[in-house]
Amino acid sequence: MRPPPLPERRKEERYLAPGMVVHCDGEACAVIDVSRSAVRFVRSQGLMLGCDRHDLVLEFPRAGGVVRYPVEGRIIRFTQLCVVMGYDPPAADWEQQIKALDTAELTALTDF
Amino acid sequence: MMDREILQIFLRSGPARKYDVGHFSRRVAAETGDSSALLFRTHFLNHSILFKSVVIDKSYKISESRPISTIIYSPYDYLKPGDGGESFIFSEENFQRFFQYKVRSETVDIASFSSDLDALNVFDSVPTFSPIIIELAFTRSNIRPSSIYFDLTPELRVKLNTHMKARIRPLIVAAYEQSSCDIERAVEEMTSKLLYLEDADSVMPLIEALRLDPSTALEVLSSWIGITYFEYEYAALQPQLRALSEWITKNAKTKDSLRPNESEYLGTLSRFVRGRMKEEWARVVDLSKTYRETYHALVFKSDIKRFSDFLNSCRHVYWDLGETLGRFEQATIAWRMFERQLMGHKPSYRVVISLYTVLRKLLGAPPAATAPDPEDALGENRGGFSTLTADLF
Repeated sequence: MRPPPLPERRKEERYLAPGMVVHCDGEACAVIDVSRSAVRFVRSQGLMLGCDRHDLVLEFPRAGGVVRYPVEGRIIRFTQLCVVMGYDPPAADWEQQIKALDTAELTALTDF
Repeated sequence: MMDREILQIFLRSGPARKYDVGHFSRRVAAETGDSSALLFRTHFLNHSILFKSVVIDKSYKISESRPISTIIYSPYDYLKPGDGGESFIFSEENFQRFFQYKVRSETVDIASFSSDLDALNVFDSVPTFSPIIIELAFTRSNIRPSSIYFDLTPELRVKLNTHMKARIRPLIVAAYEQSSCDIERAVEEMTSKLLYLEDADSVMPLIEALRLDPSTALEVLSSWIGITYFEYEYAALQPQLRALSEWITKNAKTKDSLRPNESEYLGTLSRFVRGRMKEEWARVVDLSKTYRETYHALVFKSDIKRFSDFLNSCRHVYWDLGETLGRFEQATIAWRMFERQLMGHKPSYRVVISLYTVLRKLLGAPPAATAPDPEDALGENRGGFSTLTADLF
């Protein structure tokens, strides 16, 4: 059984995932940041935000090909520039998967 | 004239410190067959090699505004650069004088002077010759040489651009959401504009939102983007440096049986080298931490002040990280060459001391060339051009 999404997205760790794209109702949008249960993405001009729920496909490159996770997105907030939608984590190891993409994780420097 | 031993080390540098124009010119000639595709119009420049080096002036001081200079090396024999040549520390005045000297000895189109100077100024405007940094600098200056000169595979170019855009995109959103300006352009377009910084007007709302001085804003932003790239470079270098550090601790044994004083000398050298590596690396980690914290403060906590404060100091950080990257890169190259020569055998005492001496000089102080006397900038009073008296090796 999947864990429920956290009520407050800001309490979650947010990751910057190069190459990650979200398809919102079929419209490809660049991801700004992603957490375990929410994604913030660039609001593209053609995106219609009239209803609360939208079809999302979270897509990112991985060795061996592109991975796609279809989820149901719920609008948390939106501005002129971006949209934040919540979703149920699509896999048990979802946070590990997005953390592995994170620029900060990939370029972390540690003392010898 | 150039000290040959120093020259060999400069010639074996990595992309942070060396840019072999001659190598790329030969590739351009072979792959395009079009001499107009060469970067420079001046013959000798198309066969030159550029180096980055700290330059110490007559009072043993390093310029704070530009701690790293560009050295232009023109080999006597273009195919044998290790056999010596002429060199000078780049400045418009030095280049003009060298150009005039060359005009006397070969046919040069004087009209080419200006465009060649523009290209050299681009090389001089950045602290390293890392291909993506060079490509961005040329794009920002609206100079478009053949892509062969940037030595980036399409895959690597996409990877680096994606990495940097992933960092820039949240910045655009955070800054513009606090901007009073109307945002007419799409975020993605602004992200590309900021990466290439071709059009100052288009990023003006960002400059205002970040409270930057418009007169220095583009330089500040390009420095921040440079640091974003260095983060990637340092992360790639980290495993090699860690391996070198571990090798020094565990494996630096010689095949010779050592007298106590030799053993003590070896131990002192290895402790010094490892200590300096740790110290320098800790400084890099600290700078990286500040860069990340201030970025996160803006992007995730809307704290624009901390980010702006960092931006205002980041030009210095950018050049500092570029210089240190060059030193670490040279240290790992020296170690790899040492290991390759050993072919799995234990080294002699003399060989290990030789490696540590190189590493000590690389890590102990910035590799430096002394600036020539301004009255004798090209060394003409000594019967030739500037002598590179680097104290590196």
